[in-house]
Parts: sequence; C-alpha cells; structure tokens
Amino acid sequence: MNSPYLVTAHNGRAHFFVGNFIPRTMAIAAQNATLKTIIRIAGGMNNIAEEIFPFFRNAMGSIDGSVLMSGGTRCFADDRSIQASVAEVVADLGLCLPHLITMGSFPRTARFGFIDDGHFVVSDGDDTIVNPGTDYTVSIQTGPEDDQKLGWDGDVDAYLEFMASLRDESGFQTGMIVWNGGGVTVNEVQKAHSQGIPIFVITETGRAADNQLSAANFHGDYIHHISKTRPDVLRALLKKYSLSR
Amino acid sequence: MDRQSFLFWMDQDAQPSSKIAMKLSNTEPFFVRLTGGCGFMDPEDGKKAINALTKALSGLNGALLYGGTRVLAPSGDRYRIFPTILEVPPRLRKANPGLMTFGIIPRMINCEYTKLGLIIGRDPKSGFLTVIHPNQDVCLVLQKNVDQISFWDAERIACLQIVRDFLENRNGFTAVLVSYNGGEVTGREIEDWAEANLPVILFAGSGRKTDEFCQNHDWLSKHPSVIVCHTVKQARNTIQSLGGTFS
Repeated sequence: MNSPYLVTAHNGRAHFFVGNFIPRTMAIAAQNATLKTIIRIAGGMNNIAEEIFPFFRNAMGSIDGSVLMSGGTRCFADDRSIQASVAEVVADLGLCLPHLITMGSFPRTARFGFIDDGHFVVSDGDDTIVNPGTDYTVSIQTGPEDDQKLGWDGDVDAYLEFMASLRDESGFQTGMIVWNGGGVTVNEVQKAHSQGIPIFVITETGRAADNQLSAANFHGDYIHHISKTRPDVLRALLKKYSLSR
Repeated sequence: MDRQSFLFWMDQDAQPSSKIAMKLSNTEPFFVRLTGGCGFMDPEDGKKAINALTKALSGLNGALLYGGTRVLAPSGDRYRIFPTILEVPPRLRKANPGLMTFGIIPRMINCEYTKLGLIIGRDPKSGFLTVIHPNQDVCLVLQKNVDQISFWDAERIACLQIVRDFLENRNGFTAVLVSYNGGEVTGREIEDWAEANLPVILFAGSGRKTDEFCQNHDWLSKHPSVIVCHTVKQARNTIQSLGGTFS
C-alpha cells in the first residue's frame, strides 16, 4: 500500500497556498480546463462510506478537462487509514482522468503544525493534512493570529466568488454536487444556489443530503435530487448542463 | 471603447488578483509588456514612438501590459495630451477587439477627481499631470492604501510576476518585453527579463536606456533572449517567431 502522504497530484506536485482569497495562480491554472467547467463536490469530509468512489467514477467519467473542487484535505482514521470523503473523490478522479484539474479550499480553523517526522497537519490533532492528491489547494485565513482562525464555513464566500468569477469572466459552466454533509454544507449549498449554480443532491447518503437538503425541504429551479444508486442519472444531468462531455 | 473599463485596487479584502487573471485569460495566450519612455521624451520623439509602436503591434492578438496612465501637458489655460508610449495600447485596442489592454499603475501621489479624469500625479515644475488612462480594459493600482506609498519599480516587479505566473500555469503561454527609450526603471526591467531568459525586443534608435543596451554588444552576447530590432517589420517578425499572431 502506498503511503497516505504520497503525492499523487498531476506532475508530482500538490501546490498549497495560504491567504484571504483564492490566488491568481489557481485562476490561471483553471484556464487550462478544456471543458470550461468547474464543479464543486460539497458534503462529508470524513467517515463516509466507500460506496462514494464507485458512484462518482461511474457518474463523472466524462468530466475530463474540467476543474473539480472540494475541501482539499485528507483525514485519517485512528489506524492511519485514509477516510473516504468528498475530497478523496476529487483526488481519486484526478488519478483516473489525466486532464482533470483538481482544486481544494478549506478555512484555517486551527494552528498549522508539523508532527512525527515532519508531516504537515492543518488541524489541532494529527488527523488532517493537505490532500496530496489535489493539484491546487488554498487555505483561507484572514491572518496568522490565533484569534484570526475561521469557522468551518470560512472559505465558502471565497470559493463561491472564484466559481462565479470563472463563470462570469471566462464563460465556465458551474455546478455543485452534494453527498452527505452537515450544517456548513447546507449553508454553502444555499449560497451557491442563490448565485445561480445548479445543485445536484445525492440522496440516501445521510445527514444534510437527506434532511435539510432533501427534495421535501430544498427544491426549485436547477435543483436536482439523485439516488445514490443512479450514477447514470447524474451523468445525464451533468451532460444536460454542459458540465461533461 | 465598447466595453466597461475595470479599475482594481490591491485591497486585502478583495480578490482582484484572480479576477484579473481570468479577464486576461480571455485572450490569446500571448502577452506583450510595453515599457520605456513616458514623461521625459521630447514631444516629437513621443510622436515617433507612438507611430513606430502602433505599426509594430497593430492587430496583435493577446494582452498588452503597460503603465495605464496618460500624461497631460499645460497649454495656455488648458491641457493637451502629451505624446508618450502610453497612448499606444488604447489606440491599438480601439482598432482591434482581439487585444486586451491592461494598465498597471505603481503609485498615486495626489489623487484628484476632476473633469480631466482621475489625476494621480502633478509635476509642480513642468505643470504636467498624470491621469489614469480612461481607455483601457483592465487597470490595476498597486498601491495598497494611503499610508503605504508604493514605489515606481513596483510596476515592473508586478508585471514580471504576473508573466511568470502565466508561464508556469497556463499551457502554451508566451510573453515578450518590448522596450522603447526609457530611463533607469526601464533599464532594470530589461535586465530582469534578460536574466530570466525571457524574450526582449529592443527598439534600436529609440534613445536613452533601450539604446544603451542595443549598443552594449558584450551584454547582448550574454543574453540571447534579447533581440535588437532596427525596423518595425523586424519587430513584427520577431513577435510572430515567438508565437504571436496578428489579425
């Protein structure tokens, strides 16, 4: 088994930035997306069932040439195994699709630090690192002080503005897919929808996806609910919205 | 201009940097950075510079990075446009929708909102005014705030960093520095690009710092990315050989 710290991002380098907005480099790199699409996968960042991987491999095999974005971190279980998450889906698809540009953003919610033999962690504990399978990741922070730590939704405005700018300035199609998720996910999905980003909620994945964001509680134009047993439906919808080939 | 001109400030609370990158990416992946004489040229030399550079860059597809200002000279009780290379990009842009003009302004000394436009500098000796050029696609002011006055070299540093970011991150991207006349800051910019082995076009006979480099054969032999052009046609051919296109 490969080390969970092994860099699997394209070209053998995972770029990491820290700042109060998405940097210019990521905006330029996004321009290499031949499909001119950016999709954010929102939702559970840890303790997700492994079924998430075959679903997305099946549904998103035709998005090569897109920008695929998520939280950009990697979480470990107590036995140091990698926890399945929406961020791992991005890394996984990055391995499968050679022209996919993978990106991540997360808020700085704790001091960064080094542990063990120099592993860089972005949480108070030792269980979260910058995802080495993501091409470009940014940690949003307003400053380095302890009292400048952000809440878990601290990156939402920055990445939504980035997506909206790519749409408005560069003609990108945008979309957001939701798998599981908690309170922050509900907030970011509602904000994304208010900015005209189509939403695809994958149902039967638990928590917010089946509660606050269920079809009964969250519906409207360009909001879709898709069963986790029907990746083909998501695939067709992505094509309909010009988010895949 | 048939489009809105955007003015960005390097404010810590905004995202101008990535937005500018997105706007610049809507062009062919070819940038020309235009540098050289602005306020210190004789008016006749200024007109000659405008004529030569307009012919050299006419129809260029891509983005043109330049100073983003206009110099106004007193004339009786009015002001007239003083001919400098800063007039070249807006003139090219007017005739060519495939070109995006991007002004980078390093600092503002006095900022006055007047019927002449946004005045950002006054020379008490000559009475010359510097205003933000009204005809440009995107304009970036590098000065962060009123308390942190930027320095003139900030423009060349920012331009080179933007070019480096594009070179590193955008597929098939090329950039060239075109230098005409200019003083000490222009000289440092030529040195920077040459040291980085990035393409430089020097207009021979344009005067001052650019001409100094044109005549320094020892320096030229050590910097093969620098090309001395004696004619407009030679400059156009050089741009095409670097991958630039003209419409």
